[in-house]
Amino acid sequence: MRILGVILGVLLLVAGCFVGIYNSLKTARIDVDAQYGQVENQIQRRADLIPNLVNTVKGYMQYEEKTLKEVTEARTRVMGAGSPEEMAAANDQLSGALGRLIAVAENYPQLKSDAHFTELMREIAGSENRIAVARRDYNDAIKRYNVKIETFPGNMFAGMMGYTPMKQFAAEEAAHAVPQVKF
Amino acid sequence: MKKIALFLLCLAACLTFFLPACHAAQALPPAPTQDIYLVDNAVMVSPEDRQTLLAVGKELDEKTGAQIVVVTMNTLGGENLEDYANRLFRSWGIGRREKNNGVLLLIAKEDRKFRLEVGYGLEGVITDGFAGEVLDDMKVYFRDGDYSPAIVKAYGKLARKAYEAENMEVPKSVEDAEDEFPFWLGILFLVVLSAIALLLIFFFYRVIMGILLWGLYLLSSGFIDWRYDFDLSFKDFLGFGGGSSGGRGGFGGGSSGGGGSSGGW
Repeated sequence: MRILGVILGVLLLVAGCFVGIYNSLKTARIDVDAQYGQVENQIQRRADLIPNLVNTVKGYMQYEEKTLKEVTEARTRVMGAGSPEEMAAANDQLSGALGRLIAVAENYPQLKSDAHFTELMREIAGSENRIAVARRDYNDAIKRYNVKIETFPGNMFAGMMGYTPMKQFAAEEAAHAVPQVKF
Repeated sequence: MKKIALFLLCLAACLTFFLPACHAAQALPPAPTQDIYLVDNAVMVSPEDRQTLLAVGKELDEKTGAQIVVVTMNTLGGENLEDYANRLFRSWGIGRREKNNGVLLLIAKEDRKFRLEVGYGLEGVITDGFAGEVLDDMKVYFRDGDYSPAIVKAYGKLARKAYEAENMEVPKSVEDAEDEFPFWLGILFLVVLSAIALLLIFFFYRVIMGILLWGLYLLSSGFIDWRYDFDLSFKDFLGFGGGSSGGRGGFGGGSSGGGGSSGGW
């Protein structure tokens, strides 16, 4: 009778451990997904500002068709991106195109003094920063997840649960160096 | 005995494995425990403005739970302004956890840079565009070295938005902070006031001396016991009377996703 009790106790303890490890892995995974949602949101937020920006700018820059087209195209790619890798690449392209647009805008003093343009540029700068924060949070979540599934005891379960290490959201830090607009 | 030793060894090994790996970034200052709405490391705010600002901040916190915090520092030491502001915001937990209604105005005096970091919950009323406007208005003052009035004014504007977010009436104290008049006007006011006082003394010399002598007579005769009669009013006047401050104290665990605006002067 006593032996049965001991065995039962040990079994319960082991089961408890298993549940704990399983939940911890699951939580890490959910956290990663949630943070990626945040990255997507913020990238989307910036992309949503683009049509408005292009419309405002159009009135002032008649001869910059190419720059404007690049921005619009990059936006379309962001909207159609599926995997995180695609999203990262498309977003970098948009950052580059926006940077060129801002550089060109320097030549149009009237545009720079347009209140609507100023407001939009502030919103875009704010978006860039939100993206940077979301990306950092996402990468931190991935790091925690990767550590969990690759170290003991998580590594024993990760295979069974079909969890594999994830790649960080690739975007070189330089892409975050937001082109500063001076008014 | 050997078995126990072995078990302990295993336990120790396990513990070292499971200890979280702490990654070190530039150390953040600990959260203040009192006067949390202004951490003036770079001494940019005058003592009077400090009282105004703290009063507005405390009232706002008590009425809406929103927390607006001003932090001044001499230099960022080369660290990225946006990263530092975000880390500081989260580490202190400005605003309530369930509402994320905090705002951080971070000013690096020698770097001539500032940032307004807005918590998730207030992004709707304090848009990036509005944050940029607030900073732009501060710029004009900052270039002349008028830090204190500009900071209080900005604080008033932000507090107004925080009240509006809750559809609450904006109290008079906020309007006063927004209308903060410049330093030289204050000086002018004092000069005029003392000139009037001097004139009055000059013209009514006899009357005033009479009153003073009468007062001295009352004091000496014991009719007025100044230790008793003045003690109370002095304390009230200086505002130290009421024991401990009633606020909950400390921050509420709010977070920010990097909204707001940055600038320099």
